[in-house]
Amino acid sequence: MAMLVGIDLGTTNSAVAIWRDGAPQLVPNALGKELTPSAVSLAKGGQAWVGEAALDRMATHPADTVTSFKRMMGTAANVTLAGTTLTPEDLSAMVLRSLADDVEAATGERPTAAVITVPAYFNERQRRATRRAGEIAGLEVKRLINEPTAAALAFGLTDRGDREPFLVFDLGGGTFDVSIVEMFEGIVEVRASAGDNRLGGDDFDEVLVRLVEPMLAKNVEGREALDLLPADRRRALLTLAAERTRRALSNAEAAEFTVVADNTPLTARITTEAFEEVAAPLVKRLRDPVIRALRDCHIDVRTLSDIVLVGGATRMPVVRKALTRMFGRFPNATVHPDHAVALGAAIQAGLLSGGEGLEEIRITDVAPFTLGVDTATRDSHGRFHDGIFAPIIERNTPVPVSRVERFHTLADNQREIAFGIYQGEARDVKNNVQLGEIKAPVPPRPAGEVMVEVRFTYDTSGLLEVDLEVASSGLKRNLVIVDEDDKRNQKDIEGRRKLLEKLKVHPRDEAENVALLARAERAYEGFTGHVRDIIGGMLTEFQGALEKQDPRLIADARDSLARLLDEIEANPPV
Amino acid sequence: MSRHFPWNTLGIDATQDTAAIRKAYADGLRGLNVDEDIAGYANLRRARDEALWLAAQGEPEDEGDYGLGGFDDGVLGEVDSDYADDWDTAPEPFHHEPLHDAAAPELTETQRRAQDAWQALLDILYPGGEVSEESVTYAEMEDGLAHLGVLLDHAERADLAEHDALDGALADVFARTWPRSAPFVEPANAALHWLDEAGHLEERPALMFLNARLKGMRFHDKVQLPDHPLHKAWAELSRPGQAGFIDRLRVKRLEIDKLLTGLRQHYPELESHLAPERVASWEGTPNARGVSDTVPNMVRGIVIVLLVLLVPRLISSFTDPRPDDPAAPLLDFGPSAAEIDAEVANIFGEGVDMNGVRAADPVFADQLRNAFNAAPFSDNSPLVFARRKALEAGEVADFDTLVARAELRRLWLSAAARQPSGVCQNVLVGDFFSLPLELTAEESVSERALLRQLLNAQVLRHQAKGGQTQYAIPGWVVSDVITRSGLNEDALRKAMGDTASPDRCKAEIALVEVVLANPGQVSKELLRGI
Repeated sequence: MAMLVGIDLGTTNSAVAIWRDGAPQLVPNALGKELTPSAVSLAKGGQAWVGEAALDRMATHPADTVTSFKRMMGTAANVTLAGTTLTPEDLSAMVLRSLADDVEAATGERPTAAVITVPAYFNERQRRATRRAGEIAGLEVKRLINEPTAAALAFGLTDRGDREPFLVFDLGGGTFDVSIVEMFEGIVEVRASAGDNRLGGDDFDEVLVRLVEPMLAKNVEGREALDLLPADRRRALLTLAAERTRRALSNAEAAEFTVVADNTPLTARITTEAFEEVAAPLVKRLRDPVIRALRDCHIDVRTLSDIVLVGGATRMPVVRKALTRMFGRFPNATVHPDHAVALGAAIQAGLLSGGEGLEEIRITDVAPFTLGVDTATRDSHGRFHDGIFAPIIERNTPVPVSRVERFHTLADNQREIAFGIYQGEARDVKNNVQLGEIKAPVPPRPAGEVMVEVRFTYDTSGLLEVDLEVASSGLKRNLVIVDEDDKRNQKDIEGRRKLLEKLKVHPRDEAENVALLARAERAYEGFTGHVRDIIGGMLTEFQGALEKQDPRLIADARDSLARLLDEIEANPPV
Repeated sequence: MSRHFPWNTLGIDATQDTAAIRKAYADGLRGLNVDEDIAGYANLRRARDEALWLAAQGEPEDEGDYGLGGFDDGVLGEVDSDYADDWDTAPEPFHHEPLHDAAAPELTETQRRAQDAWQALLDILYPGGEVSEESVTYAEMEDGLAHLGVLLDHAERADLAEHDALDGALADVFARTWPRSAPFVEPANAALHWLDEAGHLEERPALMFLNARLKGMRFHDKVQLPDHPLHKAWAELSRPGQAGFIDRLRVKRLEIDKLLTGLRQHYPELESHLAPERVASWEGTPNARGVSDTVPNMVRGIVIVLLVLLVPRLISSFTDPRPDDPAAPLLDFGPSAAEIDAEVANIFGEGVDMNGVRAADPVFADQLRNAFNAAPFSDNSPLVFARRKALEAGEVADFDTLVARAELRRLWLSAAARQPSGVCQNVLVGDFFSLPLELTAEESVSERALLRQLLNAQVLRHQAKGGQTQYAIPGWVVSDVITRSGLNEDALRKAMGDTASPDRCKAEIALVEVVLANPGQVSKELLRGI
């Protein structure tokens, strides 16, 4: 049987877990860590870094390094790193492959199939892109599962008791989801989901950068040094510093924001109060999806049994404070915010492969968006209006689901009828996402006499199938939305896979050395004067050891360099 | 035994035990491959939901009793008489209920404050407990905004349920009291993100209405700016009278059509800002009056819409301080410091010199200094400059300052009325130099005091944006103006529509006096416009 793994493909961090011995287990990466940063870095000549090492290269090679590419999934955006142009799917595939490598190293077996998590509020295009990423990485995507659903599984399976409806609040690095879930008799039932797929921890970093820039400007010299940096490098340095500051603010009332621009250290003191003020507009955006989800399933906020926090960004005190105010109680932080989604994905993988101890469990989910077609109509004055969205499957309908709607011709002797297929919540189809188009010839008759039936079938993997039947002629047309796009891409996927194979990712047993090199280089850039000299010396030592290829020498040099970096980063001398 | 839906689908006997229903559903689900049997899954869910609903309805013997009571027990009769009582007494405004009901038990301090604010806001929106189509006065607007601020602040801190209730209640009451609620909609939208819901399938009815109005107000603001593509067409259609030959050359027919079609389709309420006669003349309608019938009745009370062409920027642009080129080079042939101080005292009164001006408003002081330097090369004296700036300050001034500005205008107009008719026309368009204005000693003293007030409010520094502004004159003001000016209504309408009219001066003086008699009772736009 194929080895099936559960993968949390996150904006900031990714993780992989497997179902083993009746429980989900996280698989650590080559550095022994459970989280692998979703970062990719390339160098000329096809050298590639993924994860921790790539993230460390962000400070030194910002133009050749990319993070947060999950936010580009489903768009036509490309990234060019060191002369190689990659799609967001390619980048995700590189992360997925590195996770598969970790599983192979841990179990001795190469995974061939995966359950991958996506934000509940990901639309069809974003889901399709995720599926493609899996295929490029050589993983058959058995199922895409919504992140809050996965988290609910991990939360609910801790004691397997029945639970009244609870709310999963999932604020990650780049996306925000809310799901309302109920558990009884081994059934995990998602009642409603809502979200904002353009809101996450990254946005909080951005407002922090905007807050700090004028403060840094007070230091004229440093300001000039910062202004002289290329825009992408400047931005990378500020964003990295913002993320560090934001983390520090989770544990303290105030934190130093520190960047080193071209030997000149710049600092500003950020208080929780100031951060909360600039973050207020973002915090406000947390409220709308919660209200929408509650309204959709007719559940009163006061009857929710729990508010379960998931996603790294829920660690921020500003978010917790807002939640406490919104719900009038403290949220439940017992679930590990970074691990729950991957663990849930592994449970789903276990369910699909008939894992032991999961016989009784079933999950039911909902379609997060409304699906429908575009229609036209004439008003009472005979004016023609087109582009009106006619919903066929309403959002938050349990899936799988199959629904049919009837439509009539609008013109005399109309020869053809065509429907655009859309996903979204706007009355005007222009503001929704178009998924495809279906056409059929119709017999010429007076307007309104020809009827067509349009059937939408949406299954648990998020595949939408559209059937069109012309009643009078018996003509049928069928369109499987996912297939249409994937057929065109099948060859493409092969091509992308070949391209990625050409990239030279470091062998897994070198990962530790590679990551430490990148980290030391970042530290070298980040400090000045005496400290920089010390790091430089140790770095040269380590590089020398690597060249000699003596494992014992390498291990010694590595240990002392790592200790030095730990010490410096724990007590920054700036 | 034979079972019927939903129990046959669940495979259990009818029961009110929700746990048993859920268990039956869970067992059914486990025996199903949902992706293979979509209809079966839908049926099972429906059975579960219906069974749970039946269980929630209570004992089977209660079935058939819908809790409405019998028809013969007199309940309906009592209800009727209650209603009759209500008709006799003053009707309780229907909108008072929502929040009162929601928050019956002990209230926190902030909740109490929010309720007071809600009540106060309702009192403004329903003057005397009645629906009104009059727009709010300046004072009411400021009060209302303060109350709204308290409510929005409360919503921000409240839990989801209360936030949601307040959001719904505000949307509802604003939709009901439109157009009186107009100034409050934009701030509420900023806090509650109403426009985010615009165009959505589940957009609430009240928001569907308000969001269309919001977009209309935004369009209205933008179309006033000279760089808006339809600005020319808008300005043309807002002008009173019929379109002449020259007008038709100046503005493209296509733009007029585009504006009118768009306006009628998206923001029909905005058509009330246009001059019906002008619109009709462009549309070639023989009966010009006929058009005003199509204007929605919400504009009742708006009697005259006028267009005020702001004074051209000639002087201010000439005397703007240029940062890269300070006044220094001009200083050599400018007046001496003593001369300047003397003239400054002439403008703002004894005891105010250039240093005093600088202390009160450094930005304006620079502008004035430049005006002194420029004076020898133009017709403008620094006094004229100060007067023009006082007129232009209407764009930014607050209530008290606007009143001061209106008093200045009354003073100038009544002084002009004593002089040849050309002077008054000049004052009306803000031209103080072609035919000089002669003030009595008393008037000069008041002018200085008023200018001093504007100086201290730091509004003289304002650089006018130009363009046009419109204001509506409510019915009661019009009737007061008629009484005071002695003009009949037709003559008044004509005068207000035409700056060259011989009665215009009289009408304007009367208008300013009427407004100044009750400045808190008129809209901000009117106060700015006069």
